[in-house]
Amino acid sequence: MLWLTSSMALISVMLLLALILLLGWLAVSGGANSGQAAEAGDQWASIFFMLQHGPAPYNDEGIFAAIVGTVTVTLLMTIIVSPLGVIVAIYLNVYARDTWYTELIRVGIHNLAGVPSIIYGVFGLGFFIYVIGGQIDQWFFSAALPRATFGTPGLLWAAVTLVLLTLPTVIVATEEGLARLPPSLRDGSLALGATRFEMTFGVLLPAGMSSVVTGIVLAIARAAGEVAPLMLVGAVKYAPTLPLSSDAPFIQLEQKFMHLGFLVYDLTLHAPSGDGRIALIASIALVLVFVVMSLTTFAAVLRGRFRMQYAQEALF
Amino acid sequence: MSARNYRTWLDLGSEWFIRATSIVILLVIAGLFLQIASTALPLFEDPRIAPAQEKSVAVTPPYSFIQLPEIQNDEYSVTPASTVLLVTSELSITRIEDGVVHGFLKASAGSGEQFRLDNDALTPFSVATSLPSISYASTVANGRYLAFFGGDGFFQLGSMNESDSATVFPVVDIPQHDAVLPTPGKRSWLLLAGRKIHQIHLQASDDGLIAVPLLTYPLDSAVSVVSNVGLTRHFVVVDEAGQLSLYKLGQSKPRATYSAGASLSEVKKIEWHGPDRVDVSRVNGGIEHYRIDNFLNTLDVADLFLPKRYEGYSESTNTWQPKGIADGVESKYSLLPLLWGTVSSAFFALILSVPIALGAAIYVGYFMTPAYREVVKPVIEMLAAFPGVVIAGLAMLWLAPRLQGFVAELIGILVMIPVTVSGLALLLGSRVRSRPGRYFSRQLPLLLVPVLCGTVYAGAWLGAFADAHLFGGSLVDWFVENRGVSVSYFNGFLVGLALSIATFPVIFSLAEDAIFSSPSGAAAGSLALGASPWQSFVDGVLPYASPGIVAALMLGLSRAIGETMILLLLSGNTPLQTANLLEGMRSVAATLAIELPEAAVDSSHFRVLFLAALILFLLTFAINTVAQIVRRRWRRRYGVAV
Repeated sequence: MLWLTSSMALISVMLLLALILLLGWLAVSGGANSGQAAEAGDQWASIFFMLQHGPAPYNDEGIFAAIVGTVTVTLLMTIIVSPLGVIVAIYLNVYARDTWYTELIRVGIHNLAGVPSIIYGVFGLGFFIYVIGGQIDQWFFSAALPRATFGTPGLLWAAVTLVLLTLPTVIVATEEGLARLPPSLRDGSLALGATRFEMTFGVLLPAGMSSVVTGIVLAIARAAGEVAPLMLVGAVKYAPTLPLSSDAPFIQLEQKFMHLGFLVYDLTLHAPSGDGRIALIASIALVLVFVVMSLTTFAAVLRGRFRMQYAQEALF
Repeated sequence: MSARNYRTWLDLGSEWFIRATSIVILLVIAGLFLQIASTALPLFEDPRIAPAQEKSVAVTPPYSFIQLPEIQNDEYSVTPASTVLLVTSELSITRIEDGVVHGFLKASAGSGEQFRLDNDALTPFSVATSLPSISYASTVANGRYLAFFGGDGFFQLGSMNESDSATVFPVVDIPQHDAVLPTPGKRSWLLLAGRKIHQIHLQASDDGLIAVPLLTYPLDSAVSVVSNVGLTRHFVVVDEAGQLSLYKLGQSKPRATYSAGASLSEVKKIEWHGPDRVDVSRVNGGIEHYRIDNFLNTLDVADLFLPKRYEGYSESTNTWQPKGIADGVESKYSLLPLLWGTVSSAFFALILSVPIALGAAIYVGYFMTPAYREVVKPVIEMLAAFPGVVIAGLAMLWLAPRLQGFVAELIGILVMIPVTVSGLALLLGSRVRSRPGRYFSRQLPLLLVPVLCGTVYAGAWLGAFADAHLFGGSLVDWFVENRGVSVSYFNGFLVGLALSIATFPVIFSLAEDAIFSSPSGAAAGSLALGASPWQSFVDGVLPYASPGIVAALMLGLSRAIGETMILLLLSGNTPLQTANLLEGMRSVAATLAIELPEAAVDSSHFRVLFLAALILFLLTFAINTVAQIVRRRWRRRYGVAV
């Protein structure tokens, strides 16, 4: 049995290596035979076409729009989720008394992290888009009706859906960090006459900042890999214009957008095998995996450091 | 003083701000469940039928109803032994005299709006020599067939594929009836017979298409008048007791009733008037409106979860086909094939990933030295960084085209690894025991690298060998030929492989946590008393770690159930309900991703999809909750502060 378990451990490491190598190989060669290698090489060179300003990879115009879409929706999500997650974590850790219902809330939040992401998409479509978006349209954009402005999938709703999806991650990580802080920090600052507000924002939060960052980074990592909910709330295979512009609001919240993960899905679905697109798909996938991997590693390092720091302090 | 005031206010204000914001957010999260439920549950409300608010129209007698011949109407009721006309949607007209079809007149639009009748077409053919009477005729399957009904209980089809010949199918007995009512799509008909309404439908048999009874709608008292069957597949019956009942095709019990008593006893005609209203015309004067509320987008639980015999099907099935393939085909909303797809794919995934993940977790969590563990654990957990869509894309582009030729090799490898490793362990085990166990176990993986590589190679070779010599070159083809197994390009095996990679890191990471943070005193003691490392693990660690491991398995299961992209790309999305590993499936999550963007808001399809989402949500939430409770208990008992 010992031998079996150790070979399983080995297999899992090999599996990881195999996956990465496979992706890399596909990205470089397009899974092609040697005869097609030259053509595949062109594809590899054209990876750099991502920086070209063209919205449609279908016409080999570059994946710039998808990159912009992904970054915009993720940034928007981060901007919304960070304060909200931190506030809920502070509430649970500092203000709420420890009773059965705070425990219930904690279990609930932990569970939400495990709810399938498509459910968030369903909720985003049913509630944010059809209920709230439809209402916004009636109040503010009634001139444009029946053409829906916010009552249809778009950037804002995609970001808000991702916020719900990642909120548990931020809350759990931040609260865990706050709970790990030695009680002497709280007691000390309160004893020195600080109000709870000053204790929280002057002492606890700065001390626990790395866990807040950990939570946010993990949230970004989770959001970057999600496609299923976005399919329901705003990612499209082709958006004629970027969601960013130089005109007044600079960001078109109601607009549909392109997304790297969705692009992988859509290209995969429509790419005939043996096509040079395999290289493109594999390289987009590689970028995604690399981004998620480095974010996760960064978060893990940060968390490890934070734990180490307070583990040592607790000794004294 | 003022500074203190300012600080107090800030403190109070911030506290209330934080409390309020948090509660709002928590409410939104709770609202997630409520919103999905509140969209789904109106599906099960009962329809109601009641007199409409607007005034009834009083028509003073004497008056009479005149039936206008409508050219759009597909049917025309006929009286026996007279000249019969059947007007079809293709504007062809058939003349039937004395039970013999004499002419087949094709109408074509001539100049202006006039129709010209060409008397070319069919040679006269006999419908049946012994036909007592034809009371009703209809075209079927876009005018390719003619169906004849007799009130004494027979049914016959004539094919009119070609203009010069006609195939006549044998006469089939059907229940005796007074009148015939077509249903939308003309795949079935209602036969009115006193206190019963029979529904018959067409089914393919050796003799061609034949009519078979599908369902009987029993009534409390004899039928008085029946409305036409609307496009919504509902019809309203007025019986002689004066009761108004709303029926849905395929459900033998009325969905709603309204008892109007004697006032409805003498009804001449009842007709749909708009999607949710019927007009009841009385013999002795007046037209009354009845409103039928809330029937369009409501279903019965039986529609969703019980097998049902649909039009044209020879037996009851669970079928998911929310949008009919053609006009007038009923929507089939059985959720069972979807749930089956979800559960079976999760099952395939766990079968593949659990042994590897648990084995790896046991080794890394217990046998590995902390220094190695620090490196190896995060590396294995990196597998979690592969988003579902990437795994799916890889599997679809690279694995799927190779899978069928690759199955034998893969099975060879899967069989060879445990066989070789345990064989080696048996051979060399005695030597190992003489060495200090734990020390040896640390270097085991490194020693196993060449062994495993060799095993993989040997397994692949063995698989290929068996493939070539035992199964005639292709295992899959062999199965198809000799075992009658059907195989599809996107199949459960492919899904299971991809999904196992997605569930692997979840199971590994949590199980490893559980094993690593279990108290190790008992294991150390047992090791010191001379037990082998594996014995000390089983007796000393496993009892403590098992709740955590179970929780890890459950969370892995819930991950597999919720995964969307892998099933979307790899399962073929065929709503089948078979245990065949080599056929496709369609999961709840993938169905949501495909169909929800296109479902009309608040239609029954939309609500059924929300119900499916609700079921998925409750399923994963329940699994997660149990797993969480297990984990929390376990942590509290061992005081682990993770």
